[in-house]
Amino acid sequence: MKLNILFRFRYLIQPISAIFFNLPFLAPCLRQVPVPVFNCYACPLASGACPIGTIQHFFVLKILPVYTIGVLGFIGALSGRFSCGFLCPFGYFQDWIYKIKSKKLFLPHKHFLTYIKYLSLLILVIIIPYITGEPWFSKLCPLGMIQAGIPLTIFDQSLQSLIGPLFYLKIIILVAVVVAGIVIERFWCRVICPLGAIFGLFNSTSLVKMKVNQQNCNDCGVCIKICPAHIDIHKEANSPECIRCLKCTSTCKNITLNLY
Amino acid sequence: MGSRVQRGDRKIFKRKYRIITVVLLVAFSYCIIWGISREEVVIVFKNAILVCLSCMGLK
Repeated sequence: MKLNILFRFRYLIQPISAIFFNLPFLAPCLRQVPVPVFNCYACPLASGACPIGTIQHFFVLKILPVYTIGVLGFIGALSGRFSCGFLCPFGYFQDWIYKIKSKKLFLPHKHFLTYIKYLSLLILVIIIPYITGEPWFSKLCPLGMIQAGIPLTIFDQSLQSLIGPLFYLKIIILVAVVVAGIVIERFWCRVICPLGAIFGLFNSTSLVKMKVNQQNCNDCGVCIKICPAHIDIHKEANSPECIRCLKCTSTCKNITLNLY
Repeated sequence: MGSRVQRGDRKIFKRKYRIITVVLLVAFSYCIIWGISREEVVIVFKNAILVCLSCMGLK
């Protein structure tokens, strides 16, 4: 069963999803569930629990997050990184900032920088919180600044007294990530996102998979140019780097997203 | 002859990956149920409704 039609509605699905994950009246139900997107739960609008924040919190408590692993693993086994391309509000934000006219940099598929996300998952989300008892990924996460840090400190004067060096460090990280996102398409997803690292592991075994009709492919390379991760889809259709945005399916009829 | 062997290989490959997917889905469903029985949902909820000062860069 082909699911390419989803691409036609991507421009609608992305904003709807960004709103859905930030509807505070859903919080009593959804905050019990680690959502399959990168969305900060320090934001008063957030409807669900940040999966990375949740994993860290469990490692801080020195408990194995079985439930969170189950939820993320189940979603990963169903669709791989589909939520990165279609549902993630931060991914949507990056799609917008990349439209800003500037010099663009080409980060090849499987560049050594793309492996940083696995290190950030292992070191910042699991090992350091377990050893130090502090959620270090949250301390450095730039999304927390956009959704909570900056707006809340502007409106809540009691929080302004807590501003210290870490706050300014996070602003510097945020600016660096935004600038990198303007010049490199989906910089955060490709290089740093630990949630993308988790879902990417399931791309080759998920129920929903990319498929290339090898017989009709003339190796023109258009799919590599249009792909945000610059994957050679002809050779590696289900690479862990694929965010399943389905842009390639719009340019080439030989590429499809298939449900088994 | 060669193409038939290739087609057979592809079928085995496809079946193998289907089995892996089903095993993963079952295993992670079990993890969800196990986690719920350990009352992890309560920990997730309590953590998610707290004001995360670390996320805001204030602690």
